[in-house]
Amino acid sequence: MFNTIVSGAFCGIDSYLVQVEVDVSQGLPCMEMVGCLSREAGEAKQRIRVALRNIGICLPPSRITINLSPADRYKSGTAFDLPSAIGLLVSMGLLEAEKTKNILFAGELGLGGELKRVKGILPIVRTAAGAGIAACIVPEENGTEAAVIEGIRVYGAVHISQVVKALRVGMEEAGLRRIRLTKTAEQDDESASGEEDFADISGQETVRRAAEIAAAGFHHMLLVGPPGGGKTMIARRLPSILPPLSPEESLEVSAIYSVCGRLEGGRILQKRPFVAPHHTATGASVIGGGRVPVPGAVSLAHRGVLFLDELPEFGRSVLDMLRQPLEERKVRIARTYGNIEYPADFIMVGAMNPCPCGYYPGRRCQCSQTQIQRYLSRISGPIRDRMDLCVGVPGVETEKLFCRKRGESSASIRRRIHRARRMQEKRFGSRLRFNGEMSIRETETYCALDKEAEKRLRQAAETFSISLRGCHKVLRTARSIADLAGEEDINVYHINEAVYYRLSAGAYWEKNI
Amino acid sequence: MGKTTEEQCIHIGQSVYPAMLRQVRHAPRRLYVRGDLPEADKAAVAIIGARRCSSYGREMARWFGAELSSAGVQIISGMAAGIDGIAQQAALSAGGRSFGVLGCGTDICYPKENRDLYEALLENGGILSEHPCGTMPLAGHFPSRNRVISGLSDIVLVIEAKQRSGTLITVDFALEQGRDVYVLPGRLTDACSAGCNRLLRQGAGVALTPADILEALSGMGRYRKTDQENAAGSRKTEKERPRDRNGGTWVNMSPEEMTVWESLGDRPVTLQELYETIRSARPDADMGLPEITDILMDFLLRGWVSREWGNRYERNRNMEAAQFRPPFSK
Repeated sequence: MFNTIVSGAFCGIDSYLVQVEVDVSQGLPCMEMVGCLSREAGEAKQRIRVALRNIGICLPPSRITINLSPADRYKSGTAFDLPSAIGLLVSMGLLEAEKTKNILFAGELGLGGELKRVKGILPIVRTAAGAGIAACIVPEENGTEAAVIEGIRVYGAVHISQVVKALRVGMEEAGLRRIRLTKTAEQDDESASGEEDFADISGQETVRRAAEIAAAGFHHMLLVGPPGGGKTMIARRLPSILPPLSPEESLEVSAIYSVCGRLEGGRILQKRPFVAPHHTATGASVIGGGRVPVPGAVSLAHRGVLFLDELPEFGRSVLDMLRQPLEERKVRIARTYGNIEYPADFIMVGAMNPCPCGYYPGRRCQCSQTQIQRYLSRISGPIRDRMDLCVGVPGVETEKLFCRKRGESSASIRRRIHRARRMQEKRFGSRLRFNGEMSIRETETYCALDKEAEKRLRQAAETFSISLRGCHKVLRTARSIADLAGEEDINVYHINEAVYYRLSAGAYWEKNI
Repeated sequence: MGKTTEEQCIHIGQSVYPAMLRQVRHAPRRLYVRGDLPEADKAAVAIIGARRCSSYGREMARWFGAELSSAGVQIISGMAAGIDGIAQQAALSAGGRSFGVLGCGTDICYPKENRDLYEALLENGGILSEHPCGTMPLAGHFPSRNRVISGLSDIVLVIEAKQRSGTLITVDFALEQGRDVYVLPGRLTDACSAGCNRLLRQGAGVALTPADILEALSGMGRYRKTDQENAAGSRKTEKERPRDRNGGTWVNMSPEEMTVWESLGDRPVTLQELYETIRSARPDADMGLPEITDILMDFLLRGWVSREWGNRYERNRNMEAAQFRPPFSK
């Protein structure tokens, strides 16, 4: 007897519905799974046989064929265990086919029949809801992440016997819990107050200011300074002043974490991600890749912060791979069977020392000019050019070390950033957009200058030979500075400050200034 | 360019071989030259100094290089990064002639960053070396190269040197060869000037203006200037001399601008340091970081403030040369 169950698979962060077709017919007893499967997907037949036997169902001595359609798309993962097992039971006549209609199944089976979490539930359920599927049955551990999708009933199960019972007697009667999204107070608290706060940093006003501008408009930032000045401390506190994730953004980011199987406790992300790969990271781990592509650090940092500490220690090729995501805000990974796109819209924060020993131009520095130049040249011009803000983080003097004065708290900075964010929302409408992401045409529209400001920008561009791209970056930064001040028009004052932070980057690489 | 790119090899026995260098102990037996050789009847001054120099050193190297070369003196140096290159560049920009003595073959531009200077030297001066084409710039070649620099010069002028500096090797050669050594004084606390100040204690000549060097040259009979030139030269020197910042009264500055200006010290400071200085000096002033940044950028664009490596700022020492009017009038 033949029958079809609906399941889903993902490719990149997009997903599609998979028809699990199961046929039990006369022939030599055997069980086959087809449909372009990865190794772990094909091994499902062993798990299904043992799991079913352990709940008291023995497979008949027949020829069993399971086909996952569309059969030409490469499928990986273990989410097809549950739909295959259910399809088999229907084909064996143990369940009614009618009861399984309009329900999506996904989940991995243990040998005892228990259901285990799988990757990519969020995008799969989203696609199912879009296709008009009424309900889905997923492992309970994945329940919360599936429940954020509206327009579909989500049931969480811990064991296959529960699912079987539910399909016989009805969901509630079988004790299958319908999972609803409840926004708990605990989650709210978590998103509002991180344990890391800008109040921990005393002094360093210039860096705080740069961080504030970066957070307000999603600008890339480079921190340069001697070891122990607090570069890492500041970067780690950046998420605490970023505007909170909007629901749409949260879904986008959670989908990426879902396909990586990295949603903690199955809950969707409430906080902007902060990703800090070590400097030995390979290109594939930063950009994403692998034979079956997985998102890299740039995508995990989507809508959040990608922090690259000890920037010159990263492989030069790895750094240069960042050019495309920095420019296009997404990563395209080419494979023979097609291209996969991952979103990668992040604030890049780089931290580095000015020289190999770290103390130049202080007296402690022992490096030769050549050493310093070689060290600095590890960061290519194109990467440098993409940094909107650069700021020196001076070493803290001993006398200030014991100064108990605390800096301005994150909450207080966040208030200003909220205002800037609201202005941007008004400007860009409902789109999830920040000043740092404006296209050239938008920059020209939204960053109109009065005569005086335009004169100043032209003068600065000529004096310091700022490139055209540089000028656009200055305009975007100036827009954020004006937004922070709550002003509609960009004036000379904002241009001046934006030029300062733009110029600062050159101050370490220019030869004779 | 045709003639300049050809390398010539000059043997010590040939008459074109620089006479001053020939007298030197261990003079190179062969001299490889691209471009021209220094002219024997014109004075030559070596301007040397540290590769890692301060803004003060840079400014002074420019001043001395430009002034001496516009008085017709040939500038000899090592085309190195820092003082050497800056002085030679200034000499060429002032329309004078300059000669670079390399520690590698004349076909190799070392350091690479000075490619522009290398080309300019071929046009208006020459590149000299005791090493044949293709010799790599090895560390061991440089000390011996220094004896050629001092050997070709009437006077050796040291702009900046640290306590233990390669520049001091050139000074040793110069003394051995009987050349006069003039040194620019620096501040006692400045590491870049430590070697200079020590040389001064040991009795080196004091160079306060380019005119001092010119005077010494004329004392040696190596330099003669007409009275007119004399007058013009000294007046020009006087005018170009970096202005004393207390020398005038301030005009057209708002109180905020004045505060920022006064807080900018003689030492280059970062914005953070500037902010802290202002906060501690004027805790009552209502000046936030954005305001200070704005004023600082304003100063920078007006040319009142100059920028240093590592994003540090200081008052522009040579405001006459700046594009804009200085903020004071006599």
